[in-house]
Amino acid sequence: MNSQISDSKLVKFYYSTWKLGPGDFCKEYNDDVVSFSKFLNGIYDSERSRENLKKFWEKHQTSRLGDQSDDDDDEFSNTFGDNNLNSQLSPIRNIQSPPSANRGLGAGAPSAGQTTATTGAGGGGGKDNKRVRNLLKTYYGAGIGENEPTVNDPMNIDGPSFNLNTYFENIIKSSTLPQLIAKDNEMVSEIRTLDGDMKTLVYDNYTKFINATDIIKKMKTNVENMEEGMELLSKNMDLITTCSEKINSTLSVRRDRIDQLSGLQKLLKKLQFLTALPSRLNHCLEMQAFNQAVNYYNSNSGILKQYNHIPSFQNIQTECDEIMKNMKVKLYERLSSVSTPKSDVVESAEILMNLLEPVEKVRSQYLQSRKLQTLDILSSLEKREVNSNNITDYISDLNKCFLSEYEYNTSSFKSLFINRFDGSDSNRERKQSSLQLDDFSKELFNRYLAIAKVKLSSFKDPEQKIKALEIIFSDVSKLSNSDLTSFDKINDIINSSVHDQISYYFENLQTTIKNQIYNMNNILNTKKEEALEGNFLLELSESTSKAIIQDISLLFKNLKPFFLPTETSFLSRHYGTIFTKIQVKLQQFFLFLVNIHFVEYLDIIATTPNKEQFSPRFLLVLTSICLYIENKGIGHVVQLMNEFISTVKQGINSQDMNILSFNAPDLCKRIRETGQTILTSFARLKSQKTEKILKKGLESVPNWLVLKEPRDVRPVIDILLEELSGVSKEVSKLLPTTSQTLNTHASRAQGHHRTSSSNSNSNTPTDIRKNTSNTNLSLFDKKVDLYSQVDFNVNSVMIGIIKLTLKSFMECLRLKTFGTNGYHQIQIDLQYLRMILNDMFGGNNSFEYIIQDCESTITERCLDPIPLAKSITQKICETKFQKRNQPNDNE
Amino acid sequence: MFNTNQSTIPTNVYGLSLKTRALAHISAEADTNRFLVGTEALREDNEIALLEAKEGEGIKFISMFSHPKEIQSITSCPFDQSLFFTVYNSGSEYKSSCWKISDTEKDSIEELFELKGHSGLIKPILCDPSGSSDYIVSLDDTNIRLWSKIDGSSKDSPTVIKTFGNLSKLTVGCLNPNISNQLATANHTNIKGWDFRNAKETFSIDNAHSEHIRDIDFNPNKPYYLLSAGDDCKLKFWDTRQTKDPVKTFVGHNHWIWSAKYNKYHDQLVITSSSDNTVKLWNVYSISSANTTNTLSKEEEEEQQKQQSPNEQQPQQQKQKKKNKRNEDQLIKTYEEHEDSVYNISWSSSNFLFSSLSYDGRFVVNNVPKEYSDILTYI
Repeated sequence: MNSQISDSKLVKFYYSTWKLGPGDFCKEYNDDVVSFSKFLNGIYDSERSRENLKKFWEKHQTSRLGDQSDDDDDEFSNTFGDNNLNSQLSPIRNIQSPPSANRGLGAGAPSAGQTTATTGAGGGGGKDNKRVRNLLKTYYGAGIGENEPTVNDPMNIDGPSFNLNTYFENIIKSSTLPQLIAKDNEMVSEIRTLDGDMKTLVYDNYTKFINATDIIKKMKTNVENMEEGMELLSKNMDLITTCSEKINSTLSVRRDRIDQLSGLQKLLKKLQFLTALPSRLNHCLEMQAFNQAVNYYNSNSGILKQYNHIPSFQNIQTECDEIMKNMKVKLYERLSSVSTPKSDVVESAEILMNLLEPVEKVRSQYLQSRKLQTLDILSSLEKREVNSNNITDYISDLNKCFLSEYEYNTSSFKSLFINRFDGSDSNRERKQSSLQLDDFSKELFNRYLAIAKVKLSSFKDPEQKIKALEIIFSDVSKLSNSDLTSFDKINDIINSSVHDQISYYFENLQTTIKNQIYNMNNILNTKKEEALEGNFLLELSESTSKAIIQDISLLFKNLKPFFLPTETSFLSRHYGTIFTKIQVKLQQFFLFLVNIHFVEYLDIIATTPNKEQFSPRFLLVLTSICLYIENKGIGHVVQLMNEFISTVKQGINSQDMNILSFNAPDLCKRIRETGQTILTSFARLKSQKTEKILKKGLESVPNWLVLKEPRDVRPVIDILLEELSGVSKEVSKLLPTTSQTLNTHASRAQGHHRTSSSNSNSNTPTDIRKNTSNTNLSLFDKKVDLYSQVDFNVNSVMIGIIKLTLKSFMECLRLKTFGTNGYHQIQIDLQYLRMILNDMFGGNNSFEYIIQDCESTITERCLDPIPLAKSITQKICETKFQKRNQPNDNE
Repeated sequence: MFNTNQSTIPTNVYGLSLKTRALAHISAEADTNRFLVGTEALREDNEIALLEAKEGEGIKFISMFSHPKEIQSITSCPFDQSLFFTVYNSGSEYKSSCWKISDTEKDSIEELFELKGHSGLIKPILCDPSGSSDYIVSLDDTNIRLWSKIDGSSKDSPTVIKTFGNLSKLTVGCLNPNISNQLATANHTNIKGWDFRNAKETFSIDNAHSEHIRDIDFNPNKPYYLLSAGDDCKLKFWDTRQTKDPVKTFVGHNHWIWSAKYNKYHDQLVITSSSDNTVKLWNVYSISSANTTNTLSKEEEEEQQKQQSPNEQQPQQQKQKKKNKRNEDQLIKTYEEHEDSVYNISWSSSNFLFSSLSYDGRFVVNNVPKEYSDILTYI
């Protein structure tokens, strides 16, 4: 049976029985410490440890058998089966047998402890402190550190498992005598202190008990007294309640009455107020305290309405309504009257709104009155005369007056009509109000801008104007509610006035240049022939051209203020358009100058009957001006423009401008064309004069049929040549001759004219037919170049003039009928002309054709065309030619 | 003396071999466009060609009459297509005769009478524009002569009723078809108006042109309007009641204008011929009779249109635009068929056909451009 004891039970037994450490156990049973501790920890490998523990158990059993009865054996094994149960069921045995659980110690320890303490002798000195502490612990019921291995020590005198016999035996066996004596002494003293302690404890408890009994005694007497007092008190309280009940019942009747009376008084007061309401309202009206009146009325109208069925109330109501109606009328008057100050207007509007007047009506009335007032202000400002210096003052005044008014209007309107609603339909209302305000402010603003624009447009000083514009711009942008529309308007006004200014400059430029040219013409007219002296014509044309260019550069100077960066930052976003405008205008200007103005003179000359106003010379100078502008002027202007652009660019930096390509080459071309047209007109005019000479020469002969044999060239040819050289001289003042100069070709020309003259002289009557058929060809050639434009050189001009003159001469010849002598005369004249012209211009075929035409014409127009002998014409012409050259050589 | 130019292909050009200056439209024949062209050759046999221009068929040669002397001008009698006057140069002096185309003999003319007593260059003879034979007017360099009634059958010369004027350098004259007895003459640069029955001056435009005036013509439909043209290459329009400034001036020719004529029916159309070898057609709508009468009728039309249906306004407006282009005073076209000076020009019986004659013997017939003639007929 013993061998059947399980390992775990053995370990439990060891722990409960062996009071020393495992090392001591191993020493005693000669076991290995490591394997034994493993065994203890649940690894039951070591057979030896099991055997040792069994030995220990058997030993323990045998030793117990010696002390106690045998029947305990079975019980013991049972105890090990259920230790807890046993310890509770049998406390006595629990004390005797070593308890395995610490729990059992708490209940039975005091008595046992005390007994062991008194009976058992004390152990070692180190163990005494522990023991005393344990005693105290047991006394105070605290359980700390019970699991000390010493607890189960049967040698511990204070422990619960103290075994007196073993202790005694142990001491007797192990101690020496002196030790025993010392132990005895120690124990005796200990017992004494313990006794003393007990005695003091007993005494203490006793005194406490005595005190308690005293107190109880006292309490007993006091409580008896109190009961009487309480009874008295309850009696009094009953008395008080009955009294108060009595008083209450007596007073309650009066109190109701007072309540009723005070209510009545309040009602009466109200009634009095109501009856006095009309007079009060009237009073308010007289005092102009409309606001208060409205308050009175509004607070009482509800009551009046409620008691409408009572006649007196009705009366009051009607009276009040009447008054209020009056008041409304007055208010409306005040609202619409122009003279009402604006704060009163706002107040009136507000009161009317409080009176629940229709909002639309009040709103429109309000707006109308405000509009009238503002317009009043504006028109008074508009009427104000503005001096040339104070446009800026004026504008700032205008702004001050109008803009403050404007802002006041909008803000008051907003507070009155827009921000006041918060009902369900208020959104719609608000929207409508806003719309009305928009219309209202737009109208006024437009008016304001119109005035500003008109006033501005009468000013031409750029600086002032820009300042004024700046004021407008800044003031308007300061407006809190400046919406987009008004901003656009502002931009409009700025743009338009700037553009006005630019247009003005260009108009000015046009007029000044017109004047320049007009003056030039006047100078020409007054100077007459003196103008031909020296370089006067050239100087005149150059000075006029320079003046024109000067005017243009002045224009740029004038335009500069618009682009100055500091003052006119507000203009910067308009730079693009302004700049484009300037360029367009400039181009237009040149086109005007060239395509309209100059050509206009041609029209004037063409249409006016009196030629004196514009002489051909004027056209010549005009041509020269055209050339100057083409050669130098345009370049200069382009340069000016580039400079201008660069300054402008400095002013606005990053802004990229739409720089039109100022089409200088095209302009040059146009100017050149115009110049050519003018020069051609000049040639026409001149040719009219020369052809007149020839015409007169023809007509001065009354009858070409009857004429003497010609001996010389008619003097009219000389006159013609003189006139031509005059023209040539005049033209050469302003225009270059060609590379083809006169002298170099003189000899060759002479040679040429001989051959050609011989050709024409060979014309016999029989050749006429051939000649006629030839004319068609030559006429066709002529058609090409007869009326062509002339070039900018003396020769071309002269050739143009001469061609036209000869053409006209031919026309005249066709109308005449010649006799033989007349025929000869013209033949000589033509020959001479040919000679001179060839001399002047070299062999120009276009002359030759026309001269040949003339010759064939006179042949046709002659009754008896017998040509003069070649030698005779030659001789006459050469003599004449030499005569003519003679004075020239002498010069 | 036929020109080799004749061919069966319709052409608007006909060439004469001699120089030509004289051209006359036979206004007495209203159905055909017949013209008389006279040659100007001093030493040769001169001729008068009778030509007919038909639309689409070109110019047809009808007949050729020989004329003894070189012809300065021809005037066809409006009352009798077989009668015409010529002014011709006999060599030493200018003469004017009335001729009758023979009914019996082909290609022959018979001299009825000579208007005697002129001195210097005789200007084209003027017949009564209303078409009566009651009087004719002749001009020479200085005087205006009013001649008595012409009897187409008798060979008796009419008598001079009045001689007046006594001007220098008379160039051309014109009878006013709208005001009876009114004659306008041009002497050098001045224009004068006459009541030839009283020989009184009625108006005067001094220095109308800066140079010689070569032609004047009364507006056939507006009594006070007159055009003039001359050596200053300008075409001017005058209101004879207000003669200080011309009503209108056109500049465009490069040389002298020799002839300028109103269209008889559409007086906004004017043709001019010049020694720059061109013929120009002008539109003078603003001062034409079409301007006033049409605006009225147009307005009425518009009103009617509006009342009828507003939808039709769109095409009406477009029409208006077309008309507007036609209403601008401007040069319509320059005709450049000629290669020599064009001395004479004449409208024909057809509304829009006109002929021109240049010195080199070229006779050209032209029409007004379609966009003008069409719209005009439409009106």
